[in-house]
Amino acid sequence: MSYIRGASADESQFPTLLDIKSTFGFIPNFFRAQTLRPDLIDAEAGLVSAILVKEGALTRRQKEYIFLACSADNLSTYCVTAHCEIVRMLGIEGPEPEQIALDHTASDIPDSEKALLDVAVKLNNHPREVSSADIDELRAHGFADQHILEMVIMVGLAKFANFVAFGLGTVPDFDASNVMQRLGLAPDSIQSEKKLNPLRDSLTLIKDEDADLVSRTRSGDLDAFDELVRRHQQRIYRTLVAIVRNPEEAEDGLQNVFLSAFQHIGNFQGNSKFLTWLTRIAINEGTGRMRTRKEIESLGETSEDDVPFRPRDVTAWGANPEDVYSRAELRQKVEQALLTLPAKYRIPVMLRDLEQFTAEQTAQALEITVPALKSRLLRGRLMLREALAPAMGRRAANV
Amino acid sequence: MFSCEDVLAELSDYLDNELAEALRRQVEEHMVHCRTCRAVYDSTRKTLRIVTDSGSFELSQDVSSRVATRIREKIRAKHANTGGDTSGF
Repeated sequence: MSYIRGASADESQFPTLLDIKSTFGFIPNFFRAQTLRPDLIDAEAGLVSAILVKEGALTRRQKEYIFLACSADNLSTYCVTAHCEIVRMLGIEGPEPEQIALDHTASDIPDSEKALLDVAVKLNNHPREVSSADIDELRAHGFADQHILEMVIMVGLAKFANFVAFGLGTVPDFDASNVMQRLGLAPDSIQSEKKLNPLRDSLTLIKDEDADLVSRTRSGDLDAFDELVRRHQQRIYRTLVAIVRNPEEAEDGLQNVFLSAFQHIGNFQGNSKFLTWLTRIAINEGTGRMRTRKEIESLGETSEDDVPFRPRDVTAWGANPEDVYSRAELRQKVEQALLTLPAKYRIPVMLRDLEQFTAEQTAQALEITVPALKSRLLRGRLMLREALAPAMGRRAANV
Repeated sequence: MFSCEDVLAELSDYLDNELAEALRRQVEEHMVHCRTCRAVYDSTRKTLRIVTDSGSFELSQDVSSRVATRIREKIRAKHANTGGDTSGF
């Protein structure tokens, strides 16, 4: 990460490092390389705060642009990549920061800012050639002495940072994906696997691992159907519980679903996987029971589908739930929370996240489109998160 | 620049890793500087993980065998009555 090894001391001992970490989500190599002298990091942080962060005559945008233009001329990859990301993090309006670094003269910024950067770059590249004519030029563009002073100091700050980065050999570490990864927030590996093999879902959709058993059942092989029951009864039971919310009733329904599937197996066309077809039967069985109980929850499209769900409890969950609760406790909390969701969100979440159906299979089983499924899944997942939050949120936590 | 609402709308697809590269970048760039979205994302990610790993609503071995036996007996009885024609139930 750099030419010299930083101290392995616990960063929690150094408030400045903790501040830096909370700002960026990680400790950039620039500072990590200096941990042998935390007092210097403190001093530099103070310098950056006074020169760059503290409000003055120049705007933050102008100061960042000076930093970028000078760092690019000094060929400091570290400082350019870091501050391009920082400009984005701050939500500074304007052209892409890379454009400023590449060639500010061709970017879409006001002429006055171009003039400011021209002088800054001149001071950076040819300090002895800067004359009072350059300063007068800036005044002609409306800059007062305080603007000019701050510009000069910013050029000095850029030089300082560029030279420290060069001297310590800090490897660029500012990239949004990288930052997310460093925060431990990259999507989980199970889900990432799909990304690595985008064909996987479509391949598994085409290939039905139950095809042989279905075909044998149709030819009168009852043992083959026993195997289908063994293979899928857990999932079908979960689908039924998701709908009827009552274990005994789900158990009753389970038998009906398989008997109905056996009876109609001749109608199974193979347009979907057998399990999807079976799940569809289970959904019909479950909703039929709800109707009998006169407990009819709307599974169709409703206006609330169009209104975005806003999380209310946004407290960070500090620890991993698995470290705080036993598996049995977690299961109980998950079950309780799932059952509080309205059916139209509960069923998609249970099929997709508990039973691990693909989005396409879930949509097919529910006879809704994939976009409609995704909209319900988003809301359901956020509602579930909200239901679990009181047990998981920890105010002191820092994500 | 993505707003918090934009990120929230893409959250599910981001979790499932189903976002196109350009969108994914925008979501991540927003989350890098937005603590609230990061907290919502991280807690939703943990929610899905515990749901998937929870093994919730597990069918006990007893119930599972009992139901399987009942189904087995019923289809064999019917099968014998219909002479093997499953469509005649």
